[in-house]
Amino acid sequence: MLLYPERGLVLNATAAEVVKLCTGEHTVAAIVERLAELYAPQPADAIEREVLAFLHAMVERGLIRIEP
Amino acid sequence: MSDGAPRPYTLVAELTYRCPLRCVYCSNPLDYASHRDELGTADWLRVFREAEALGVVQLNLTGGEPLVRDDLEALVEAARGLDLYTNLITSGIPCTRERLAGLLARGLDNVQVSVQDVRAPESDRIAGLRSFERKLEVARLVKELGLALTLNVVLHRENLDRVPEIIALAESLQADRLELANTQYLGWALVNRRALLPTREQLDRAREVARAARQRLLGRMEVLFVIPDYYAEFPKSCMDGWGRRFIVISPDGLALPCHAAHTLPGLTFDRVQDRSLDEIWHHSEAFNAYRGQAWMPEPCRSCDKRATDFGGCRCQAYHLTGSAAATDPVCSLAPDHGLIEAARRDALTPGRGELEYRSARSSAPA
Repeated sequence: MLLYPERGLVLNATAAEVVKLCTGEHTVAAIVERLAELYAPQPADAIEREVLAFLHAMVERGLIRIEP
Repeated sequence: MSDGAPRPYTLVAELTYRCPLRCVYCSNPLDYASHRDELGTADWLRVFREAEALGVVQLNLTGGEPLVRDDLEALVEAARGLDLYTNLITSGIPCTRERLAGLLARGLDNVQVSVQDVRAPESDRIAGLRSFERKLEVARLVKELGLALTLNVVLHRENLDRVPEIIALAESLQADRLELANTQYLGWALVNRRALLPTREQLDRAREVARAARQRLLGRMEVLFVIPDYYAEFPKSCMDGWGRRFIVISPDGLALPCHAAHTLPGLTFDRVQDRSLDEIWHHSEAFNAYRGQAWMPEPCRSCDKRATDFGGCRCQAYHLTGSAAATDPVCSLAPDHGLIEAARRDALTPGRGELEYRSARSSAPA
């Protein structure tokens, strides 16, 4: 569960993997690559789309910040 | 319990009713001064452990003003040890950089600082204390130290037209979250309702401004606009339902389903000094009184929203109609909805009452 003021977000296992990688050390590309490895043989482009959509939703909620 | 055993997620620890501010909409009960004996550190630490064991993951440290407790550091440290997400809800008075840095070092996650308006004279008038400039300093300190900042502003007739300026202030403070919380007319706010209740036109304008800001600031600052239920068609799901997600502990140890539950007559509330939180949550008369749907009158009982809004706020029902088991009168379907319509009509007439400040002197049993 990802907790923030007065609320929490229950993450599924995949989402939790992505959030764990958001440490400030990994690029978005590296996170996609890592997930693609974890979930092989699923197609990498589908995984990329899903990870990007998830990150976008988290950024909009202000729960993840993407540094340039 | 008719709906099975729910899991509480949030513990609201009202550490004290003491506060240097005298806000005219304070949610503390009118007789706060008669609740004198505050729980000690050891009791609070036990309550945190018992809450965590029940499933609680969020801890709100509030009051009164939690910073007047000199064991706040120990409480934050213990909460961190239990992996609770810990939010300090404060007026920012009295606070120093050292104190905040110490709380951060012990694991505090978020600080919610309230201001009452966007300029000192107006803000200080509502707070009943010169405090605005100091509050801004504290909000800046929170960010300087790298803590997450929620700026909270309670909205009412006098400041609703300044929501654009309030948003600009929150942006300039780099708040992570702005809570635009329309006044809930309970406690001191109900005493001052005539002076505080806005018009629908004011509200609609402010809501639109907040909605636009929410979109514009996506990803930078979360803008929350807490529903003004006097102008809603249906009530809010107060506390997410009675005895469903929240446990509030009053400064003197009463375990409550909401901040104002102890103002309801005829219910016996257990003290955490006497019973375990697990027992109180599952088996106490008070937590079970309005849990689920069995207590509901019509029109709630057959309403398709009964599992969404849970019949609204029990305290609002009692303080407006005299019956805690009535449908919340803010509901347009409630038999007593006329009470709300009358208050709305009154908001359109000129001439407001004097503000009554929160004080021990005027405290009397509600």
